Amino acid sequence: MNAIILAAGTGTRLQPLTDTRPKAMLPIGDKPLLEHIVDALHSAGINQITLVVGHKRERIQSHFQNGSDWDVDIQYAVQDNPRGTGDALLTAEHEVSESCIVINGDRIVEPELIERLIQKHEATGDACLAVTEVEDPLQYGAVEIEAGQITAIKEKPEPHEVTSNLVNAGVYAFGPEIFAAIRQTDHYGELQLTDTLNQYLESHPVHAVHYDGMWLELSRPWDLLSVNSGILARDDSTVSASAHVDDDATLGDPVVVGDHSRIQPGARILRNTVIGENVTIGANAVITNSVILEDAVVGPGTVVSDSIIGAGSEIGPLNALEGGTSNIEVNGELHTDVRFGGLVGDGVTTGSNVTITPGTIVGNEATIESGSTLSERVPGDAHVFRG
Amino acid sequence: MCGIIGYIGSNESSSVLVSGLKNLEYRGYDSAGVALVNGDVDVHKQEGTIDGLTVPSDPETTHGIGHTRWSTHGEPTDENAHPHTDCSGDVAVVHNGIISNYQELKAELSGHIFESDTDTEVIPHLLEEELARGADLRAAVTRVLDRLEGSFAIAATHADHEGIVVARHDSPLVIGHGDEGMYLGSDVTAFVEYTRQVSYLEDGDIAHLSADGIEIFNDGERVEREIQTVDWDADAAGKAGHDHYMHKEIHEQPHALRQTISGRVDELGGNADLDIDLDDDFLRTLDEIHVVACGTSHYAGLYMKELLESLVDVTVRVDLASEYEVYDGHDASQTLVVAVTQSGETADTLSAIRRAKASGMTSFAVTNTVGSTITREVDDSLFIKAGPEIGVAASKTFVSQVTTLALFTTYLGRLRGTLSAEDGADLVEHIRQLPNAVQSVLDAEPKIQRLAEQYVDSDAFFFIGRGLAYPVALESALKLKEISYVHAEGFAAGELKHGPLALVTENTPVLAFLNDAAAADDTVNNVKEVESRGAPVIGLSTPDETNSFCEHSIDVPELGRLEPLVANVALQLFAYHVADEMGRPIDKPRNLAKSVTVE
Repeated sequence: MNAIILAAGTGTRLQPLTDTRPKAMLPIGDKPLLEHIVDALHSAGINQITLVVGHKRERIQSHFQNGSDWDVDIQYAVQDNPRGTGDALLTAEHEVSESCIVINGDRIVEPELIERLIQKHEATGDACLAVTEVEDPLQYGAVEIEAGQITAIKEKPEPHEVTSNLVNAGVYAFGPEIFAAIRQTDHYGELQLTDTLNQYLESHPVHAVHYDGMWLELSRPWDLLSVNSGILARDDSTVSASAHVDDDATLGDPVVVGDHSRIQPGARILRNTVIGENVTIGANAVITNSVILEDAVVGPGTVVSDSIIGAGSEIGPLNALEGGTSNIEVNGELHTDVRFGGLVGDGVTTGSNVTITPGTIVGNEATIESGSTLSERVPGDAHVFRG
Repeated sequence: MCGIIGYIGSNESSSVLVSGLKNLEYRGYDSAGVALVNGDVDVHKQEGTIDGLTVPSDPETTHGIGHTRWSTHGEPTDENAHPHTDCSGDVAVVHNGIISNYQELKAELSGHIFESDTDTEVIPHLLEEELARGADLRAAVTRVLDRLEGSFAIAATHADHEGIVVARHDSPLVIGHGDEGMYLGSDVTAFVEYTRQVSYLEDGDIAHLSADGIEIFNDGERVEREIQTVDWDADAAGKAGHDHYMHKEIHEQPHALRQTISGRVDELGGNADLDIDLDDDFLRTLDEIHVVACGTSHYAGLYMKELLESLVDVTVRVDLASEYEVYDGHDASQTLVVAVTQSGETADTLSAIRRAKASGMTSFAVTNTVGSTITREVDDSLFIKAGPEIGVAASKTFVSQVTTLALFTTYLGRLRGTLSAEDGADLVEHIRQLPNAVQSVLDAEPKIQRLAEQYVDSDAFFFIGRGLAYPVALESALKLKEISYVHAEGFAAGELKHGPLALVTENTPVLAFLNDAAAADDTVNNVKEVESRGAPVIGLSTPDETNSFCEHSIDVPELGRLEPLVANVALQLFAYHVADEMGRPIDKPRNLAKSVTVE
């Protein structure tokens, strides 16, 4: 069995983090999200993986090379422009000659689901689709099921269209005939895999595989925090042997501290915090439920809660990202009462005593002068003065 | 520069030989061939790439040698391709290096029929004579070696004699010990997919490989060579979805730099934590450092000179290895000679180091290759840890070399007390920020690609910089020349008006390094000189500063003395995209080979 991971998307809802990297390379625990998927596939016995890559694909290729560090053989298929998940799958067709597992590159599932999809597909010879139960099906592809088979998939349905909380989990098992079905799909604009399936299931059985294990999907900035706490709840704390944690610093549980990072005296790294590679956390800084990407520096006395700090950013002393709830607009959708401290992009520099209020999103390479208070959106490359 | 592969064991030899030749292709690729041995010697060879070579597969044939050639003596033709055979066709020989007395030897072999113009072909004919006198293959090789002058590694095999006999004399040769037989190669990449257990032959070694082992002799005595495990990833030799190895290697730089730096930065002490075995008292008191290197490594050496002379009170001289001569006028016992070589096999650099050692200097090597010849010849080595580089044009190894040399500068400055803890901390902090700074330049690739596409049809490209940026200007120009074949030159910015300005027209873009640590304000005047001649200028500097008046700018993060090095990464991408736009074979530029093991 082969596997195809769809990781070519631009991840616009996660901007500015995805301006410089694919969504799948954002850190979850002590490794990129995509590595969790590769590990799960490998644990399920799959050793031939095709990664469909596009946006900022060099980051993925440099990390995974040809897969030998994970004991799998990785091939790359390139989707240069985002033209939908169906189109993405077609770019991988020449790498795959048999049945395959297909998984979206923005979600983490357990190997058990992959194994069950393989078993079901091998037993029936038909297409199989994993379904899982969520609280709010309106955000997903709601599925209707009769006698164990999918009868419809409705993307972002209206409330009256929903009959259950079961949604498409974004993990499939297909025979090679899926490629012909994609090519025959009537579509307007992007060619989506769900459009193909809705047409395909009219004349072919598509089996539902129910899954109630861990299912973590990364779509909006604050998901990065919840997906990380989901993984940290499963794994123990990981502190790299090459990290330097001062004797007078405090590490809570669970946390991750990456290679060559330095935690200075008096700093406190509290629950659900992920510190990337080569990060400096200054004296007496307090970091809670946050993700600090590689090479960033957090100044002395700075408080960071429920927030994300981008790679190479230098947050000055006595800054406050105190966390809390706010209303946040992402791609034209307003999300109310979101618990999210803020997102600071890559390469941002802040002076001292800068306050970043809940829900603020600061673009890459912005420069913030001392004493400023930020809210809502600060564009990339902006220079923010106080007064 | 050529590549040798050999195999004897229980598997079919042709597939081992062909995959080995593919892995060695970067060492030379104008012709290739193999000799398969199974009761007779069956030679297949031709001019052209390895892909063009057809080798029959026969499961019964489990013994053979192969060669990929980069011409030195004789043009690339079918006849000049290796292996070469004797008059009977029973002896086959492959050879890397140069036989300097082959013309005299050829004259002595008057009764023999020569089919090629190579120096190599004398060897099978000399072996034929020794074998006719009743010697076995090893004895024959031993006697023939006594008559050969030059530098070489050879492998010989015979239809009726068991095994493969190999010899090393100044050219590298590595033995692989596998479960399914014995391997030999010019370097580990030849066979690393089959075994990671290797031993390195030393000069003068003659080894007899058979299916189940090896016997090594040196000066007639049986010797053992330690078996080591290499941790180089054979798979790193894949392109991982990139169109070219060079593109892959450019994008690997943040990762390569993290490896280079890992465990070597002591921020609190403002020092570099290096494992250097040279005597501290010697390093404290030495008067002079000589750097010997070729090509890109030479420019890395020039960068270190700028760092050392401004931060450490020591006189530094940087020489092209092939031009290096040791004269009087300095105290050899107080001089350190530093060889910078990616492969550790560069013949010119090895030869320069030998001259320096002969004069009594202490020697030191900075290289990417553990177990390479240079590491066995010098007093101590420092590894750049960049991982394997396959693209012929160096990219990540230059950046890792300079980074390693900057660490060495810090170490030396702190040891000699000329670099304060505070200045040392600044330098190592900038070293620590390098991977991220390089990543941010890589993130700007689309913009750099557009500039390359815009100017691809230019007549020539000039790179100008001062101080630390001058060697980077030279390196950036070399990169563009190597892979695009376009005329490109690097100049010290202040020299423009003393001559090169005559070359500047509206069709010669000028790429200017405007970094604070490289006298940007002075270079700005030179930018104005070329702009007034109509040349388009691409400025490299931190955003919003001096580059605002250039026609184009490429942002380089602020990084003190290492900022010009980061700018080089932008120009690697520029060179890559110019060459790609022109459809050049970027990983294998014409006439060039990865490591040059001939002088």
